[in-house]
Amino acid sequence: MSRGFGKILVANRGEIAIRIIRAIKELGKKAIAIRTPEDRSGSWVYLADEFYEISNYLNVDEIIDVAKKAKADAIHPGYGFLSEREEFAKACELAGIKFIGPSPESLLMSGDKAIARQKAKEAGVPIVPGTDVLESPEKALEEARKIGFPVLLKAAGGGGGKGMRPVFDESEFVNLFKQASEEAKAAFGDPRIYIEKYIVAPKHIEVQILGDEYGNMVYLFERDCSLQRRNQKVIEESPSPLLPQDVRLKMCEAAVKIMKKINYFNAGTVEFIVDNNWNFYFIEINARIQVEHPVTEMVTGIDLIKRQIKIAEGEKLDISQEDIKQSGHAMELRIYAEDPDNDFMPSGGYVSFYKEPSMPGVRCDGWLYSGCQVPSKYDPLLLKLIVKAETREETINKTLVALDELKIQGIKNNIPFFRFVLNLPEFREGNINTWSMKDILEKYKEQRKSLYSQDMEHVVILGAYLCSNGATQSNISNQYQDSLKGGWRISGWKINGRVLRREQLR
Amino acid sequence: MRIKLKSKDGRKLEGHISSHGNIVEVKFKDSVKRFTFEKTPFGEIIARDEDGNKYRITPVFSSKYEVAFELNGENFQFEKILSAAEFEDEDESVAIIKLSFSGLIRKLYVKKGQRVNKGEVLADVESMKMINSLKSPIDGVVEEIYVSEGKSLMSGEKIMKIVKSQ
Repeated sequence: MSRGFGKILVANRGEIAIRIIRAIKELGKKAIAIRTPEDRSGSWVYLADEFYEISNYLNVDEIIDVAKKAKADAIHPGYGFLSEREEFAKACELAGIKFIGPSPESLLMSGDKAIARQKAKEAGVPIVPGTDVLESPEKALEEARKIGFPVLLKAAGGGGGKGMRPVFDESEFVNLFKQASEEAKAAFGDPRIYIEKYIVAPKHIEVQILGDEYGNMVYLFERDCSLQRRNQKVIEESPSPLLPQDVRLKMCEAAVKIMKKINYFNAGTVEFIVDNNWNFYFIEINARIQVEHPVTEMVTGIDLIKRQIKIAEGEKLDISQEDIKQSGHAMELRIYAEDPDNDFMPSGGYVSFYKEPSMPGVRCDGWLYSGCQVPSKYDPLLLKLIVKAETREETINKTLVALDELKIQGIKNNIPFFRFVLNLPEFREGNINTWSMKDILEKYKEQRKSLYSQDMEHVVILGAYLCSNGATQSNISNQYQDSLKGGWRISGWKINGRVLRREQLR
Repeated sequence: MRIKLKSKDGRKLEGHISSHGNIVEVKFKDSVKRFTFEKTPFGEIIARDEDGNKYRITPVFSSKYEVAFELNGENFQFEKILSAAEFEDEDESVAIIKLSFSGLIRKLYVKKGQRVNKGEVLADVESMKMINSLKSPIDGVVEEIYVSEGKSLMSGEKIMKIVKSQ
C-alpha cells in the first residue's frame, strides 16, 4: 500500500539538503528546496526542481504554506531545525502532508529524556544511575549524594550535547544546579533538570536502526563518535575500534528493544556511553537522520535517506537482519569553518577556491563551491569527508591522502587539526574516549609552538607575501580572471537538461 | 615591499620582498634568498629556492589584518603589522583588544574612561550562532573604544584599548 509520493519538500539547508534532494531525484520524484535570504549563496536550491525563499528554517507555518503551495506530498526535515519537533510532525499531519520520520507520539517520547529513560528501563536496557526530573536544588543534592559524585546535570529538554554540566564537588552543587536550570530555560524553554552518575572517560557509541510502519525493525550496527570537542562530534567511524563482538551485538539488540518500546519507525539512532569495562548505558534517542549517517551507509551499503522515503511511503522493510553486514571500515571528518589555532573560533566568509578529492572510497557531502559565501548565521559545518577502506589503518591513510587533495581557500578551517589527529599514535591505536580531546588539544598546541625552524624565515615571509590579499588573490585567481576578461566561451546552452544551441561566443 | 608579521605567540618576523616576474627575492636580516614559483591546478603555489628545495604553499585565508597559509602541510598564521601605531601592544602596559574571528558586536559592557579588572567582560561578540565574551587581560582603564554595538567586524579588527592602571 504505497503512498507513492510525487513531490517532496526538503525543509533544511546545506549539505543535508543536497543529500536528500539527490535521493529524491534518484527515486524519480520531484524535489522542492527552501532557502533564507542569508543563504542566497546556497547551491542546494539549484539542484532541486523548484525552490522557495522563506524567512526562517524554524518557521513551521511558513514551511507548511510553501509545501501546500508547491503541492508537496511529503516533507523531509533533515537534521537539526524542525527535525525532532513533535509540533512540526503534527502540523504536517494536519495539513495532509506526510512527515518523513517517526510519529509525533514517538517524537514526544524520545524528545523527553525523562520519558526516554523510563522506556529504556522498561525495555530492560541498562541506563546510567540517575534520577527523574528534580524539583528543588536541595532535593537534588540529596539525590546526588546517594548516586555519588561526580554527577552530571542534564536538561530534560536538551540534546545534541547541549544542556549538560558536570559537578565534581558537593560544595558547588546547589549553585550549578540553579545555573543549569536557568540556562536550560533560556536555551530550550524548559527549566527541568535531572541528574546522572558521571561516567569517567566513556566511549560514545550509537546504534543506527531502521523500522517500517508495521513493526519490522533492523539494526545497522554502530558508529563510534568518541572523539568530541565540547560535546560536539569531530570524527565518527564504524565499526567502533576495539569493541568486542558480543558487546556490539548486545548493544544493537538493546537499541532495537528501546525503539520498539516507543513504537518507533523510520530511521533513528540510540546513543550509548560505554565505560572502560565495556559496560554500556543508554543515554538518548536521536529521532532523525543524523549528520554522521554516511558512515553507516558506507559500511552497510544501505542508502538511509532513500529507505526513509520508502518507509514513509508505506513500504515494508524488504531487508532482514541477516542481510545486513558491516564490511570494511568507514570514517567521517566534520570539516568546520573554525580556526584550530584560535580555540576553534568559528567564522563565516568567502570561499575563494574550492576543490573536492575524488578517489575510490571517498565521499564528500558538502555544498561549497569556489566563490560562495558561508553565512555566519548558521552551523559552521562546511563539508563531511567520508572515507572507506578495508581496514581502519587503510582508512586513516586514505583520509590523509584525500585531505591533501581537498582545498578550501578563503576561510579558516580545521583541516590542519585533522591531519594532526590522524597521525597521532593513540588515535591510530583506536584508544579514544570522549575525554581524549583535552589531551589531544594540548599536544596540538605544543606542536604549534615549534612552528618554524631557523633558516625557514625566508620561505615563511615568501608564503605570507604570496598568500596576502594583494599578491595572492590576483595570483591564485588569475586563470579565473582571464577567463572573464576574454569573454565566456560557451559551447552550448542547456535548458532543463536539453541542449538548445551550440555555438562559440568570442 | 616591507612585510611585517606577528605570530600568535607574539614572535615578530620582518622582511623585504622584491619581485621580478616569476622570481621573488626575500631579504631577511642581512641575507637574501631567491625563489621561483608556479601555481598548481589545485590552488597551491610551488616555490623553489636556488638550492633546489621545493616548498608547497597553500593559501588558507587572507584579509587586511591577517594571513594564514599552509607551508609543506604545516599551518601558519600571522597578524599583519600595518603601521607604527600597531606597535602599541608591544608595550605591556597597554592592551589592544582585537577580534580574532569575524563577528558582530552584540553588547559593549564598558564605556570610555571606565576602570576594568582583569577578567572582566568587556563585550559580547556573536559569530556562528555563538556568543563569545571578550575579557580584559589586565587591570586598567578603557582609553578608547573603536566600535559600537551592532557593528560587524573582520577578524583582526580593533575593538578597544585598555591602559594599565598604576
